Amino acid sequence: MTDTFGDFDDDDAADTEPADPEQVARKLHDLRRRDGFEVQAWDDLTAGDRLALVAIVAAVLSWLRRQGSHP
Amino acid sequence: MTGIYYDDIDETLRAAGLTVRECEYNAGWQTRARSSGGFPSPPLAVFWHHTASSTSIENDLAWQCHGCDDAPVGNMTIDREGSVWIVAAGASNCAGKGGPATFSRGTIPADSGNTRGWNVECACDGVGGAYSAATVEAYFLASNALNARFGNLPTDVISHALGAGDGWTDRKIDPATADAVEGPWQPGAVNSSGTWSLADLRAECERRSSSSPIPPPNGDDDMPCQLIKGGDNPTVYAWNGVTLGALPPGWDEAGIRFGLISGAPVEVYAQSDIDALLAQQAPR
Repeated sequence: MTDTFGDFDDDDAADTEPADPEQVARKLHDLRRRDGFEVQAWDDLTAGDRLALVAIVAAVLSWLRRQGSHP
Repeated sequence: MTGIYYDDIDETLRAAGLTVRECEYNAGWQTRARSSGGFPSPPLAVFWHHTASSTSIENDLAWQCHGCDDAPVGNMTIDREGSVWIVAAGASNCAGKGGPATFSRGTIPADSGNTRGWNVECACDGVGGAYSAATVEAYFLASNALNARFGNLPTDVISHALGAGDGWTDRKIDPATADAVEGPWQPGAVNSSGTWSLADLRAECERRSSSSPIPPPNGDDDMPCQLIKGGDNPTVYAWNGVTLGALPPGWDEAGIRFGLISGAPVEVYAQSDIDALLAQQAPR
């Protein structure tokens, strides 16, 4: 039997809720680890490091939101 | 983190009699969520899916929790043996575009099924792969326990597929196929893909929630078990709280008539309750 993995498509991720900075930070951190960067696991980061990552992502999201609100 | 994370949902599921398992891939489910974080409010419904996969549960979980670019995919997965693996305590990506749909506590707006519903995957290829009786039993146990936890009615369930027009989206066919469902409950199919009838699904959720479980014998008499039967069905079963055994045809009637088992009267239950017990006896 050949392994198959689901029928997931981009539309399955659609939703109307705005992004949460911490989850976005976690996701970006996970992607960086997966792609081979030498970074610590999220759970190994200090509270301060986590907060810094969240703040950076929040700032980026805020900037993107402002850009989106411009005519 | 923002929103609601059901980081103790494993306790809810275990209390319902389910086996909840964890491995290196789904570990950390307590803080896992889609980019929007936790649920903005308690989910209004349980979404029923199939994984559309034919691989091990570990491979499914690795993809659902990490491999898919839009991970986490779904909130939990029921494997082919009926065990439950939690994927995300917060909102997940799974339902996507579709809806709206109305439930007992309100309406899930269009394209909001990921954050307003709890999405349950079931390991099956969806094109004829079997749903074992144990898997189906676990699916119903989980669905009813989840809806009770969220304050919903047992019938607050929806198929990912639009099905007969009452499901979520016409992009999907899950759960399917109806013909592949094993055990006493047999859903109808609503299209050529074999999508389960949502009406049948809701009726079974309702029936199971209103059905009172058959209690184990209290052990106060000499009988090592209780004798039970279902409605007009003549078959009498011996039940010790774990195992159910049918008495040989004729013996049960003779035993009752001639007083052989007069000290242990036969308790009569709904045949559906007996069927549910029989389903639990299936090998796991």
